[in-house]
Amino acid sequence: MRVIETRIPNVFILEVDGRKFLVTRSEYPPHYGERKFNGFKEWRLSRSKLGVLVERGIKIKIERDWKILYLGAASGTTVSHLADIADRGVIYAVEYAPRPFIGLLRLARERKNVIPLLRNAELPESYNGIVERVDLIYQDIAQKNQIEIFEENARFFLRDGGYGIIMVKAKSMDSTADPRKIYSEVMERLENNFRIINSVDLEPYHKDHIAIEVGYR
Amino acid sequence: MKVWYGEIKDDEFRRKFDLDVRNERPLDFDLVGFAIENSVFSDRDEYYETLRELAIKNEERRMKEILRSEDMFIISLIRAYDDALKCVNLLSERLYDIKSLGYEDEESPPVAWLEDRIESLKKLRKELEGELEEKMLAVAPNLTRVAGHMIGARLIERAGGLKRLAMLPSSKIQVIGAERALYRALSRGKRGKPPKHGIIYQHPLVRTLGRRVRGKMARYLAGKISLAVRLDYFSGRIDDELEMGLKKRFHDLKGGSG
Repeated sequence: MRVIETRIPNVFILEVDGRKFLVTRSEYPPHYGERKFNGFKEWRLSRSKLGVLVERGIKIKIERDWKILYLGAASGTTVSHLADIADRGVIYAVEYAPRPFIGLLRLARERKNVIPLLRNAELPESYNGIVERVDLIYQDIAQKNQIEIFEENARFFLRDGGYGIIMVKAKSMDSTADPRKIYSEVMERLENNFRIINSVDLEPYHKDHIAIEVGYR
Repeated sequence: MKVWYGEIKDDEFRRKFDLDVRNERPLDFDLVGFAIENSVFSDRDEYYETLRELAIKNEERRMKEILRSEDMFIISLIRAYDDALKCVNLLSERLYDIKSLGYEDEESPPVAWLEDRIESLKKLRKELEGELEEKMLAVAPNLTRVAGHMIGARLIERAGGLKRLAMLPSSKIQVIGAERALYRALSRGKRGKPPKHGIIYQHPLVRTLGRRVRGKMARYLAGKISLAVRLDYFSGRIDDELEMGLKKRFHDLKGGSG
């Protein structure tokens, strides 16, 4: 087994019997059926868009002590890896649907740095007074008004110079238009309040999805 | 201003733990720093540990409340809505009878009573529908987007709950509400013609199509409803793609049927 470091803390590439795996260093048990290799947790790219971005992104940055606001945490698949990375930080994990929240609660009980919030990301005022200013807002919600939701949450919680990662699903914006056209419209809108750092296509793991990285002001 | 560890009023701070906060404007101070300065917590570790434990407890309680009664409540709401509608119709009919005998409300108090109660029952129906829409969006957001809150609620009622609806094949969803027509067709063997649609006929994208393509649309809609309900029941994630595919199919069929 060979362990190769990456640019991101607690993220490694593992070579096991000639196969390569993206992993996070983790003392915790699997959360979503992923494999464990003594002390490392497999990051399944087909299950986590952030995994694909981490593997492909040349600019992506996450630090161990970061405060992170995660919108659309679902059952905590990606949160479990972010919690491995930001092991000295805090993740505010927001999810509005009660059923996947069960999984998120299970994760939060295990991890000291995950704060689960059953709230609607469209109403940031309902968790304003719980969530502090953060270094990163990560958003994965396939909704038509997701950019508006991101802007509002940034206004409430992203620190000046903070960093944003937005997962955009073209089909959720408009199922008939050309994805490239949708992406450029989304970027144009984001440029009103943010600086676009990079965008990464998530094919073939996640069809018609891109990740957009932005800086605040 | 209320934050999770207390209240700040006219520069006075009172400590009180409560996650039910609401602040319309971004805070202009450091939430964590302020708590430590006011010795609510001795350090950051204690701050986060307390918040995390409180969040787990509080949000779990809220989650259970939502999960416990959600779909049964919706079933009761839609039935209450139908009851109110039935009452309005019955009383309106009776009022019409009385009026056609020549009585007007100046001379007959019952006419005014009836008119008054019918109005308030109509209001009740509106209120129930508003509540139903809100609950449907919370419990089954994808189903509500695809089928609308009324049809969605009816489907949940007929299936006997969200879980049961999620387990049904889409071919069954297509004919929910047309059971008589379905069994008549089945009992006739090969000569029988199964119904095109049941409850979902009320959907504007089905109802407004020509008869020859309505069945195609109903089948497509039932498929999307099935996907939506499963997403609602098993995952809870919202997917706007379902709804948009529906409109596209509608326009294709509309164009084709000319």
